[in-house]
Amino acid sequence: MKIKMILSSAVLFSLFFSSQLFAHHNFRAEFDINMPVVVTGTVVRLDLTNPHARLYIDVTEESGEITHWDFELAAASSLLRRGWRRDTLEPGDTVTVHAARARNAPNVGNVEFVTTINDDGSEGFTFGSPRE
Amino acid sequence: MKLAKVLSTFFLFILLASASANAQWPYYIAPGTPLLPDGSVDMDAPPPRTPDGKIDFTGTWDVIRYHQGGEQGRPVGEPATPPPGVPPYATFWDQGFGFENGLPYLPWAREERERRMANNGIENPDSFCLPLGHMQFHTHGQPRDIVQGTDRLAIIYEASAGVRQIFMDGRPMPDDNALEWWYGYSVGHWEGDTLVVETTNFRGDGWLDFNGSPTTEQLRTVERFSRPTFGKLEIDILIDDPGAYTEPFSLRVDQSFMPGENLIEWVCENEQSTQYFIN
Repeated sequence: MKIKMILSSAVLFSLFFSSQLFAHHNFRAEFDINMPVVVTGTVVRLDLTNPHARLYIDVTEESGEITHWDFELAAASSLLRRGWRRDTLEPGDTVTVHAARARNAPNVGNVEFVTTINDDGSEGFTFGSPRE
Repeated sequence: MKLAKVLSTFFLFILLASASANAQWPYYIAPGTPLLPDGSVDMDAPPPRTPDGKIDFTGTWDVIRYHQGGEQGRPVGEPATPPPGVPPYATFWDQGFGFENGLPYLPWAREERERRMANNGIENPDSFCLPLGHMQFHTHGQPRDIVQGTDRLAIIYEASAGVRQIFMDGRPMPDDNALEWWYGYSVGHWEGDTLVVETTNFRGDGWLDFNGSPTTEQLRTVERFSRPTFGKLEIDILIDDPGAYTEPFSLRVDQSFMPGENLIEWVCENEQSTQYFIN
């Protein structure tokens, strides 16, 4: 587990300093960097697809209602080059997602990074997603 | 804790030193690749040649970015100064970044680019899984493969799964009635160790850069490919489009050989973002 955390920290670091960024669409056409959102929920599905991977999570609100979140990530090929694997996030995992909100859609966002949450509530490992 | 620091440094080094260590598929150095005594690829070795003595461009290539990257990699700060005699460096976002006064737009083309930028680029063909223009392909952050034969050369771009074919069998350029394509029609010939590629028959709606610098059906490009060392590819590109620009201009793209790397499948299958676009 410690190794995994160390590796994931290195992955996260490499993302922020990578020169491999590109853009498939203009971030500003969909998201607002000034509307950050942090939510904790349960992974429903991770789709490692192109041009953007997607992460779907369910968040249980204080009222008990479930909110379905739809997050855009970088392209699958970009994530794979940066250490993501198909089992990086699996259904049922608890995660905290740091993202920017979509400008015209609720419960949609663009992921900056995802942190897994252990059973005891402590933070597990972190994976970033370059903004494309 | 000390062990953790050592391991952290080790993994960080691996990640930063070679993206291939993290690639999806196995790292593999092809037979015949020049190696240094420590086993790494000798990027400064002489370029490989085909059996008929031509420079062999075959390999996987990564664009070299000389500018400082801002949001989504937008060029910020001062442009890098190329060596004497070398045209300004191309950038994915803004092909005019290295020019003192930007690109020489005709008035309509300048206005169209400004309109596209004001619209947050929502009409960018790539956003809808349509092909990128050549200059965006050359400068894209995703790698490209060159596969070279004796009578033609193919460039396979990971981005947008683009494929260009360059004919080197002596055929003429197409006549004026030929169809127009996203990638145009490319014919190449050798001038010494430089492969010179002329391309015409473009559709008129490709974008030169992410900011939306327009092109027209009058676009003609001349690309000069050279490989001075095993590890470096240099491409000088002449952009000649009297339909959008007051005069031709040239750009430079440098790319670096990616040892042990390969393309990852990239099928544009689920662009769900467009439903949320606003301008």
